[in-house]
Amino acid sequence: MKLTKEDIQFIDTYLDNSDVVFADIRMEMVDHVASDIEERMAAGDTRGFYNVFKGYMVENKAQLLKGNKQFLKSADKKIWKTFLKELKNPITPLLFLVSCIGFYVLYQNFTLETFRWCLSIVPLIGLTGFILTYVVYQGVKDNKRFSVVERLAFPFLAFYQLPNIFLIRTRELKDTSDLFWTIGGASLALTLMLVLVIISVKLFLSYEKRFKNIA
Amino acid sequence: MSNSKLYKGSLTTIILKLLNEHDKMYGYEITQHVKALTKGELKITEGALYPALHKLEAEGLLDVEVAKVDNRLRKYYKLTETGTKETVNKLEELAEYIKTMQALVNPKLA
Repeated sequence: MKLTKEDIQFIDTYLDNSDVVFADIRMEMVDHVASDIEERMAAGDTRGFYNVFKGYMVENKAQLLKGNKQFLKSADKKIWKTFLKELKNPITPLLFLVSCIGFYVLYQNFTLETFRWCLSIVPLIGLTGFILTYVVYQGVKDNKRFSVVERLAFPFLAFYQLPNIFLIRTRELKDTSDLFWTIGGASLALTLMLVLVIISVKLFLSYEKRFKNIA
Repeated sequence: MSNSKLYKGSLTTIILKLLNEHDKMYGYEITQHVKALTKGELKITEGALYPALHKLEAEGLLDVEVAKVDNRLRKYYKLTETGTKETVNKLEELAEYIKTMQALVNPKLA
């Protein structure tokens, strides 16, 4: 006997209320619970959906939710693995080089104030990239929360802080060494953030591919 | 996994082996398959299976496909090219392990 749409929705809501907030994790759990309940009912359990569900949860809820935390660890691992893979892409050193040249040109042709202002907006570039990716994704997916997309916020926030370390040296810019560290640091931060934007789009597209056959 | 801690280290190999024999499988199907093959001796719990599957996916050994089945979404796992190669390595490792254990526990049979 197959469960109805309402039964499936009931399981989904129950898991959502049990802190399984990410739709991609919940989806798999819902299928597991529903498959088990269907098998119990097919094997002759006549107590009805609600009671069979209750019985299943009493026996297995702890085990089921155990996987939730582990999934987030895997999501983080997936992000960092994709990130490291992208760092090896030849486009990454090229981005770094172009950033260095760009900042040097700025330093040579504009006032120190303008140069500092340009450096100060570096963190915002990456942050804007992430927010745009996130907002677009949420819109496409009916405001459902997806683990990997949300977990991307952590590396973004970490790299957001990175330029501050180097920007401290721009206060004086006394010698070539200060200039070297400032431009190198800002370019590094900008490159890392752009790489994060690239992998955000890639992960976004991989989710799209995964769900493309679903109406 | 309910029966024994001894099985725990082999879970990844079991999953890879099953996926190597099937085009694609979903979580519940894997648990039922293992249960049937071992005549109920080995029961893989949700708490052990899904973290293992997600880890293998994060490592690039498994690929994922989502389909709508019976009013719900179902996540299917299949081996990637790297996953297929890794299955061979894992099975060789396991065979070697079984041989070593056999030699230790029952030298006559080894």
